[in-house]
Amino acid sequence: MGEPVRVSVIALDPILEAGATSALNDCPDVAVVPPQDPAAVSVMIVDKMVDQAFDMLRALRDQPRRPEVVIAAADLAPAEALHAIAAGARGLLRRRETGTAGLARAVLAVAGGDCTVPPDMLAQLFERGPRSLKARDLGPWSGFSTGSGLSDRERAVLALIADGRETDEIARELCYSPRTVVGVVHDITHRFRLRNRAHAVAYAMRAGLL
Amino acid sequence: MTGALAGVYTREPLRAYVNATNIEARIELLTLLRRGGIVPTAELDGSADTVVVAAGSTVDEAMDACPEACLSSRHPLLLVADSFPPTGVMRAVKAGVRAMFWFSRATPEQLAAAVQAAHLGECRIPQEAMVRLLGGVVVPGKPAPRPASAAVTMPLTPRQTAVLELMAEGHGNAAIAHTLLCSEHTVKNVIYDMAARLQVRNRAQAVAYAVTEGLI
Repeated sequence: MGEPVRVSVIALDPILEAGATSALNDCPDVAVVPPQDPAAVSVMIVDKMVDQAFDMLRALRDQPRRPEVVIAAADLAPAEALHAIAAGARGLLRRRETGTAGLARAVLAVAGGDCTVPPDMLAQLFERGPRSLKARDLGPWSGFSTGSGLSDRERAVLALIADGRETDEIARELCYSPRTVVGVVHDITHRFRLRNRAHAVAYAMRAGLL
Repeated sequence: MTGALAGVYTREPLRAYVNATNIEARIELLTLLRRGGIVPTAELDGSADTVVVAAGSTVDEAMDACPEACLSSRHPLLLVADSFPPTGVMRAVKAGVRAMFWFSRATPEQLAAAVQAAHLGECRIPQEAMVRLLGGVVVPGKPAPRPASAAVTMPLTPRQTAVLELMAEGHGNAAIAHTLLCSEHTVKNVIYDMAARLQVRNRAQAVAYAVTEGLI
């Protein structure tokens, strides 16, 4: 058997953190390390995928070792799952459906290069087609302050960026001023807290927004 | 060591019925399963504790390798393949499959964990397949990014893939150089070569192409 997978546990609630830590310690294939130590996988225990949770996810992914992230949430809607995947999460679990061994299996799965989502959600994500998840049917999630989808105009601009076009070309094609194009890009990157155009394209594609 | 893993997750050892299009793959799977504490079986006994492991070079081939009976029976199914094109993954998901596994990543522990996941109805899918399915579907009316001929014949180097991954997370050259422990000059060269190989104009297009093709 190989080395156990080094995993760290991060939770806002210390009781949940202790519970997850002891559950993972029961599995010989994983070894829980303190949060500041390098880990291959980080487990995030959150209630809902609110802005604070996305900030935690990004902070984890920005660590030098870039651990794979498993999120065990109390509640999880499809749109939240798509955004979490786009922001770099690999494993998504609903806590009430997940036993202790299930958490350990999810850690092993992401350490092995796989993804896991709640099984009922998989069909939902794919069968509806990610692009059918428009802003209007994203359900109850309030998420990022001004909605979690893209407007038609934003989608048009982003699609051209994904096609390798520069600001001037996009402006000509869509009959906007270059300033408008820059403004649209800024709105997207600001709303989803993205760093630049490449980040915005990857994020939108992975969240099924583009 | 052997068998210890399966015991952690369930009391009874699981059985696996293996079907593969290729005899060598079958033998290798049987060996890995035994070492992971899963008991190979030669009969489909109708028990939910017998997981059907179907293997092929693509996910479609693996689906076709499934005995007809098992798609409609109680047997949980694990598909093992080396390639996961979106159409095949979609077909499998529609048929109710939740567990798919990359053959080249099979270790006894990981394969056993995947069999366990299938048994419990959990979802486990290679990350590349997931990303391609979520991000790679072509927008109607918009042509798919053209794979450059060189890109088809020559896969990206690990370094190019690492750079693309970091670019997709919005990192600039300095941050990429810092993470990959190389100079910014090297990062620039890697990006330059990659752009030529993928025939893309800029970083955003490179990232879009890579997500669509499941390279990152």
